[in-house]
Amino acid sequence: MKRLLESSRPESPLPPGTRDATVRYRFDLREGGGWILKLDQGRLAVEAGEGGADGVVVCDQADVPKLLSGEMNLLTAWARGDIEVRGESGVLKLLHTYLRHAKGAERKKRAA
Amino acid sequence: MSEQNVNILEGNTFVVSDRRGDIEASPSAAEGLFRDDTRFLSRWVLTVDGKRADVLSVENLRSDEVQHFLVPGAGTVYINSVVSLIRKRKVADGFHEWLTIFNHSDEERALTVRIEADSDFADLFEVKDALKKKGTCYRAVDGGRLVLGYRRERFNRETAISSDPPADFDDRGLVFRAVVPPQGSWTCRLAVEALRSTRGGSQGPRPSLDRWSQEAPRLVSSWRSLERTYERCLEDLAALRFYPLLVKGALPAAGLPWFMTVFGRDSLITSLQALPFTPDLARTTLLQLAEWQGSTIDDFRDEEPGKILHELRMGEMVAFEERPHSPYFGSADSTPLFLILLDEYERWSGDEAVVRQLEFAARAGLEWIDKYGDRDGDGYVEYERRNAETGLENQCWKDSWDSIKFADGRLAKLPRACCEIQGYVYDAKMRCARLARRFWNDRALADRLEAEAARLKKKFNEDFWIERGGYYALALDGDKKQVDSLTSNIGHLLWSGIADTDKAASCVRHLMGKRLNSGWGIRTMAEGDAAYNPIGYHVGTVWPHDNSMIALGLRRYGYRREAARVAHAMLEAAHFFQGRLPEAFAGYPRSLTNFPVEYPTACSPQAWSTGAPFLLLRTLLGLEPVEGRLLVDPALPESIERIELTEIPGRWGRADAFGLGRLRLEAA
Repeated sequence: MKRLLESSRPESPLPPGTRDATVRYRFDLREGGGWILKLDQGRLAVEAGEGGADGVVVCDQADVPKLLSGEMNLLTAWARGDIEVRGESGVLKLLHTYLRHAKGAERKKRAA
Repeated sequence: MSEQNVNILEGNTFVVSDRRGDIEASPSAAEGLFRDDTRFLSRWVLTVDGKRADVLSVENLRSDEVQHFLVPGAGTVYINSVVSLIRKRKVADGFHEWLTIFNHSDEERALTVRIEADSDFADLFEVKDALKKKGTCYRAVDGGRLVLGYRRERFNRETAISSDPPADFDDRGLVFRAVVPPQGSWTCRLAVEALRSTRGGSQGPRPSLDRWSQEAPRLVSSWRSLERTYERCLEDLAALRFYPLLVKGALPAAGLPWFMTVFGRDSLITSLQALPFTPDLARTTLLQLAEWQGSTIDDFRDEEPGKILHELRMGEMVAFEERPHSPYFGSADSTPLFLILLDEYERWSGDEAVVRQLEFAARAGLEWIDKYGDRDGDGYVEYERRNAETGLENQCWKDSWDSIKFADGRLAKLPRACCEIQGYVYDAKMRCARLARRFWNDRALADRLEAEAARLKKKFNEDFWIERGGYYALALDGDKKQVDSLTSNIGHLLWSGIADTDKAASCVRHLMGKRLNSGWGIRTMAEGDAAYNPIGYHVGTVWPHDNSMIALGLRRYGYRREAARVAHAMLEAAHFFQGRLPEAFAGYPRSLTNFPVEYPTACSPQAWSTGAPFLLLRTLLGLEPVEGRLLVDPALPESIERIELTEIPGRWGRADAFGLGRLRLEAA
């Protein structure tokens, strides 16, 4: 997980709305279990325990590394129904913006 | 869209039907119930005792509500019918329909009322490009509802149809056995819900149409047609407010039926047009577009850091990344237009907080212009798509593939530097210099931007000016050759202020001359150029938004009479469209027709056409925010005797403007 979060570090400056946000996401895995992911001052960290959350993301375990590395586009995954989101509008958008700035963000390059 | 279509809309949901209220979608007919880029109903056909209805009258009560007056059975000769129907429909996350059948005879009538219902769940792109579905459709009766569904992996969309009284269901849809008493009526209420599997938090309540209208300035004019146009535009603009998923607040969607979504360019220009009337639209447009600003280099989406988006979609093909609109960034002008709107919004509203909040986004946009927009460092923003498969070839407002052509009809080579985009960049830099000095406490940036703008203006007036023609080139092509067709784009150079004053007079002669000016408006391309076609999308038609920007440009350079002429002609054209100017209309000379001829597939309502009368009113009344006050300097033609626009919102609170028609306009 540590390596995963390392890959999600932003490689370009975050917009202030995302950089200054403090948001707690509860990830519920469809296979069972889950954890809290905290976006705080431009960093993602995993927190132990359940606690309150601003948003809930429901997904498959196999998709977690793809999502957090930015390899899987959060917005299209949500539109396909691969992930479900509950919570206030804009909470998922913050995570999407963060991950689009990530080192490993999904980019489709022009064929050489 | 055919004039035989009836459309009603509310934000992200709209219904296109025929005049009976029936929906019969086909590859060539964009009829249906649409929501979030998906067609949730492709068939909705009413029969009474097996007969289709015939139309007596259609009444578009409001933009979200319509009433069809019908009699069962279509015939060549009308025979007194003893049965008639009223079919009332209102859009709301689907639609509600009230069907009332009247029995005008003295005998009880037992009727079989049937509604055939089906859905193809087509993505808007599939409708446009006639593509086949990859998932599976299903239908089921569940708890007294007919459920039409579509599934592809976890992507699931459903249409739930219920009624009061309850219907019987069969393979084709809903059946009612209606018993209508003598001289009585039978009523049925139908609810069609468009359900998506994607959930993303609520947007909160939407301001009502009534409240929206109450907060807008009041218009009184001796020209009744102008009043009607104004009312219609206010209502249409309210209906076009789009609430994107995930981000709070509304911004104008581009147009119905193809463009009911967020478009950077269209939303920005519409917000600019409507600033003196509904300034809050500009605020949310700026905040929304900043939220989606480009952050990385992504060839598929034509994305670059700091770039403002072109288009955001949420249909199936986008979800499965078969189309790049999540969002797509293929427009070279949305970024400078974003910066222009930011400054203009502050000038009108005095909302410093938004200017400070968006400093990061504005700086990123400025960096995009220099680092990515100007691909080769020649000082001009040029474009060539990164996504060669599904990206847009033309990334200027004339975005059809064949719009950028030489006068002899040859297609210009890529990358293309279109003239109006250089004007927008010039204007954006000048305006951001003001913002940097006044709000961002960065004098060095302000000085740099002003110096860059001055250099750009000087170079542009050398490189784009066609001496022999006395106008500016449409673009520089990939070989830096002047694309020498004569187009409406030169009017945008007046709007942005990049044109040298000594060159403006010649441009104005062209804009008002017979080659460009049809008498109803300025054509996108001049008659006489090889590619000119009066019904060519960007090569000869007249676009209302284009004309509204040109009219303001004419005022900017002191051509009051010419501005009034352009404004007046367009508002006259609006009269022929019942106050709802379409996206575009044909470029035939006015001397040939007594009315503006429709363009076959134009969107209507279209946001920036809806916004055009607002900007034309601003131009006619000469409204400008100057040092915290509203300056009013009317220049009205004699034919408009009087315009009173009261309660204009702005940093001054509310202000009034009055104008009397004093200009005598020579015949077009």
